[in-house]
Amino acid sequence: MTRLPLEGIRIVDNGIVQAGTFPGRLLADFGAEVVRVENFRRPDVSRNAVFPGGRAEDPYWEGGGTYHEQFRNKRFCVGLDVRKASGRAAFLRLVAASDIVLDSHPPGVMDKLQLDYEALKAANSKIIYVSTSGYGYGGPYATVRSYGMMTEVMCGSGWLNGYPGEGPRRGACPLTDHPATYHIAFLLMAALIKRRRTGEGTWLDVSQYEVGTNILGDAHLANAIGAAVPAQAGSIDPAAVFSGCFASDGSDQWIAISVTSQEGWKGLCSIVGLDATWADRDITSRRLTERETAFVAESLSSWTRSRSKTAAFAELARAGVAASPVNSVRDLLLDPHLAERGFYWTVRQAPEQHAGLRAWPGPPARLTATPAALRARAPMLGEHNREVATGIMGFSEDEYLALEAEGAFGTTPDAAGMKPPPQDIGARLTLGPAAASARAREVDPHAMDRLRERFGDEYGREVRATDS
Amino acid sequence: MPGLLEGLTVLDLGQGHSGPYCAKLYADAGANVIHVEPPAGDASRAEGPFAPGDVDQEFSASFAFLNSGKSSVTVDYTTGEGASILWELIDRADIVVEDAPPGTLAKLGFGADTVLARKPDLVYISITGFGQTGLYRDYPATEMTLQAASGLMDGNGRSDREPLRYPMNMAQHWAGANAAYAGLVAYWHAMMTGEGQHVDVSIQESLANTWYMVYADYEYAGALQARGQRDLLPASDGQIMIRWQTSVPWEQFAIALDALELVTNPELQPPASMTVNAGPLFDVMAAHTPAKTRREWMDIAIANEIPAGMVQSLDDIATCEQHAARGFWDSVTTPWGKTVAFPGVYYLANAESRTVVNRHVPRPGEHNREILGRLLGHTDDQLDSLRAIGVIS
Repeated sequence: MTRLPLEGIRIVDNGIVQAGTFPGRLLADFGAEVVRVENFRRPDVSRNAVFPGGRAEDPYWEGGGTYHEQFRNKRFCVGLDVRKASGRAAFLRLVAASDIVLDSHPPGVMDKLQLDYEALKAANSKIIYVSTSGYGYGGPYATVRSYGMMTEVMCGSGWLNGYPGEGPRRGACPLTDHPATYHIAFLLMAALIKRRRTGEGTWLDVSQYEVGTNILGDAHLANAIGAAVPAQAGSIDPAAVFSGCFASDGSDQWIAISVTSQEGWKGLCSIVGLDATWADRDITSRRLTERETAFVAESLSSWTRSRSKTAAFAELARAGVAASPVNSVRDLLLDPHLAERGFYWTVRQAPEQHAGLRAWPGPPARLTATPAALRARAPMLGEHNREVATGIMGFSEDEYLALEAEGAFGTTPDAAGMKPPPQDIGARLTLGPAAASARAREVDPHAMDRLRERFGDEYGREVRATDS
Repeated sequence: MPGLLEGLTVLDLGQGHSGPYCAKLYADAGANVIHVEPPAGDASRAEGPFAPGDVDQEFSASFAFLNSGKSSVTVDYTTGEGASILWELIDRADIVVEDAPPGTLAKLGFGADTVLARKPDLVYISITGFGQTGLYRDYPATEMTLQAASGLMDGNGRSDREPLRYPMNMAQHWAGANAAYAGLVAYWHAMMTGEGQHVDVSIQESLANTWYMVYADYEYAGALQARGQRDLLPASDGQIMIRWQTSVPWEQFAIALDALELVTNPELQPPASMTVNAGPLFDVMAAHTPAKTRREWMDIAIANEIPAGMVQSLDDIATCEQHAARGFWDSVTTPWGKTVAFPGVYYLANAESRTVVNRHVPRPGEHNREILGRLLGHTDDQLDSLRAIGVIS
């Protein structure tokens, strides 16, 4: 194996779903060694979110697809009860041998456990500690329980998002979580670079509310100077001379089209069959009137409706018009461009994860000299307790057995800590507080066939220990 | 500001939103960022939003947001003289960021291969819609078409209408943050080994990498997410979000919402469909939430550890007590002398309280004398003659 840039960096991942834990995956893709620490009594909710099925005797907490996806490339998982003094001491041994600790418990939780920055610094003076929360440590909202969809509406995205005349609307994903993972990963790297320069660790207190306000910073600054901000503007590019989202052939299939230049305008006219009096118009200085816009939209709609969104995309691109199908994850998984780029990695899950081979998004970016690499599937709950305890933590075998016996280490949730997921697919999809719409638009009966055609016949076939 | 990246020199050749946002994150973290513009200034300076009285378009909110704290030099590097100045700047840089369509800089002699051949320890970041390779590499794209291509628009909007574009330049900023991250990984590698490289960031992939459970929904259950979220509840002065979660005892939740039917009505008991926040529970909550203001509901949510949030307008956010308490806002003074709030950095380092930074937005070429003169060693006479032939301004 070629040496990856972040080999030798060890991250203790004590985060909870999404923005709290995903940055660890981003660094792991470039070689960082992630030790996932999880409260085995009450494991991460992603372990129970969306499930391929399995037998009654299967450990259901190993079947969560969201977990398989978010935790791929994380090398170790330790099931630890840090509420016990011995569990806490074991955690601090891990911290002593690591570079970064990622945490996303609500402010106050780690302090109560005496695992705040001061405590971690006492164990490792150079530790980099990142705390991610909805609102940051301090301020009147510090203790608000929050998810990404809530900071989404707090930061202005919900208020700006919407159709004209219909008021604010929340989006689909728990929005601030997603970009925040990159904002946090960036800080981790910046803190590592600072530590190399100065020898000093850092505590970074990241507020998702602030990430959201920052990512919409152009809107906030515009508002501050009294400029008009495009709010609830619908599916248009505000700066475009013509844009919209149009129905294509098929059920609920759409293509976004945007004209921002003379070249794009000429291309659109040729596609729709508008003559030279339209095409030769200097479109950036002589904007379309409302009536003209409606006429062009009408002509374009009949054109898009008569072909698939992918066919329309190719034709528009050839004509120099910016466009794209509104892609679902199915479209993305089957997309020929992403296939050519090798964007998806196929990961063989463990037999106990009863999912077989699956496809998860791969490299976050292409580092041409040191490309990201897939090195591990998502670890199982407490899979590496012994290995990490007797390795990185430096316990003897006997000490480890004693810690396991007293319940500091474990591999099985408490009955109350996590319940088996419901059998009904609709109910499974709504599991977890982050499940957004609580409804599926469509359950595709051919999903498995499509994915096998794309990723090979082994896709989704379980290999069970008992079968081999 | 924390100065995590003190000593790092970044050359920002970005002209859109993704490259400048990436370089902005570097500048906000203390790096020395030099923004290179054409002699007339970036085209993005003429992109709004502008204040109503700003008829000369002197202060673009998006340009100011993306470029404060950077130095500006103006160089026409399509000319021989300009190209040699850009080489001198590259020689002094650790990281170069650009966001032009693939091949644009190569045509001018500044493609990644050429630049890395001259400066092998450089990190050269390119951000484009679809990346430097592949079928769609050269396809034109805009913010909205990239939101569509990446999967961001899927699920946003009403089920009986077209999918909805998210506001502003979110996808480009999102990818800019990814590029800032990936660029530092490459820089780390260059520090350790002396080997620089080309970092190819696709906006489509930057977003598509993060869809978390949505992939599992399809791969494990064949399910595609629906549009038509029903999750904003009416308060007396706007809208709020409130969600029940299992850590909150059901009775406590019912009392907090003043919705006692959740306890007394046998049809409204958990778990079953009641735990689905968009289902019947939503209707029960919606019947009670108009009784109080958003802020009153936030206090109730805080006291009961119930997840909640308010729909805030930009004006609400400008006066938000949380942002004030955390010292989130910096300031900026417009060319017409008005000092207004400027969105600050999104983190606190070592619990140090933030001081208000009065941010400076550079005029085109404001730092020509300082950087081209003092740093690169061009004399005033040389700069004057470059100016005379239009290479700098």
